[in-house]
Amino acid sequence: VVNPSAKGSKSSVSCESLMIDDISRSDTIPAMDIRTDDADIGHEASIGRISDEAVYYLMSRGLAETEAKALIVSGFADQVSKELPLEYAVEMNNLIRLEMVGSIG
Amino acid sequence: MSKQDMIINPLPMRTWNRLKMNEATLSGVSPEGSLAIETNLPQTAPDPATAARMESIPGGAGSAVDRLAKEAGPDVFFLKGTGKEPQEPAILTLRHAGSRQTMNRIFLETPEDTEMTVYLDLGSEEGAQGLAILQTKAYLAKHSTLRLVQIEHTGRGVDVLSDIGARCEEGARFELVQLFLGGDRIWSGYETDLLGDESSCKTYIGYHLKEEQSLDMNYVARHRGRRSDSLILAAGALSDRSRKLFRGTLDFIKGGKTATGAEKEEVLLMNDAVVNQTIPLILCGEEDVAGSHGATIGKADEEVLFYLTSRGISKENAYAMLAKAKLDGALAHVVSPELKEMTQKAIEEFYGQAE
Repeated sequence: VVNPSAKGSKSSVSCESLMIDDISRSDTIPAMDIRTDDADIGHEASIGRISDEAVYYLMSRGLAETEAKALIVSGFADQVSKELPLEYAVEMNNLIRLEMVGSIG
Repeated sequence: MSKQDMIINPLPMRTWNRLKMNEATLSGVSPEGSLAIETNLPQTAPDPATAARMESIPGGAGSAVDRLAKEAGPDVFFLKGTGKEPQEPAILTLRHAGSRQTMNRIFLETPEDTEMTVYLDLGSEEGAQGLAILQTKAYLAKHSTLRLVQIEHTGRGVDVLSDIGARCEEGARFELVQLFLGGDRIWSGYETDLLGDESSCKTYIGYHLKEEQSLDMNYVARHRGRRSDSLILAAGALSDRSRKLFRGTLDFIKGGKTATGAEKEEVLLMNDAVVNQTIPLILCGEEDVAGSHGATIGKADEEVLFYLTSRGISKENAYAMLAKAKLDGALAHVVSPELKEMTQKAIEEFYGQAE
């Protein structure tokens, strides 16, 4: 929400969803309410599945399919994990890997 | 019939009530009669099976418009495609006059392997007031193509409710170009049911709102068929104290594998008192799909303005050029040369540039 008094404000929102199984659901409902012309607002959203080409590339380098998909999901979350202190980022990636072992295959 | 309040343009999935974007309310609705439709092609009456099929197609403005139609009972104007292009496009002209509320229903059908182009021109006579409701339902059989160009350029005393619903079977293509150039309060709903595999819909919307005008939109693409494809492009400009609410929904329903959908919106804000609201939804219940949305909202780029004003163009005219470019973007997708010329003329009249 950009109020009339928020002159010169800028906002950029990005929503990305990765579907990794056929029972999950993703509903993205962003809203923008802009009440001044002196604002620069951008928004983007995307949704998709794990790329078959990326999985094939990793498997051709010796990774198992589950490991390949776990690596891709971990990379998807990289934009968040790279903002964390190293110890937390490592822990986050470990948690993703543990979660993916049960989710894939 | 008695006046009624209607809930229209409902968001397929509700969000916070405090944002006041979940739906629109239209009060005191009581249409009496329909506008006369001038056309260049003969029309026929739909058979009962066709009429029932059309009734079952949902429109983007919601079921309230269907209920109103049942009660008000407006005449149905029916057009059916007869062959492959090139054929003469159907031109339907409606003119709102006096001070009244009217409702028109238009049913369009393209049988298997046919193509049809329809130009829908909704205007008004000088001094007209009231409410014009226009509901268009389209059924596209297998591998058929329907191109619909809708120009709304009523006077400032006229409110407009436009409701479009389309159902596409296997391989069918629906292309819609809409330009909103007039009216006072405008509500526009649109829903395409991409039922068949490899069906597609492409929607191009252009608008320039001025003074106290408001435009409330609800555009929905429902992907049920495999490899179905949708595109919704909305571009426009807001001047003075105008308001715009754009709801755009890509709904990937389970079973619609490898479907692709995209929404893009560009809004040029030309005054500090405008209100721009955007709520793009991506609803996904299927794993193997690709959907995207992008929105760019703001005032004119300072470098572009400098470029134009340094070449002797006043700031006012520079803004008008940039706003017109938004409408020209939709115009570019009108395929028929004859219709393109008619649409171009409507845009130039809007900007006072017609000869």
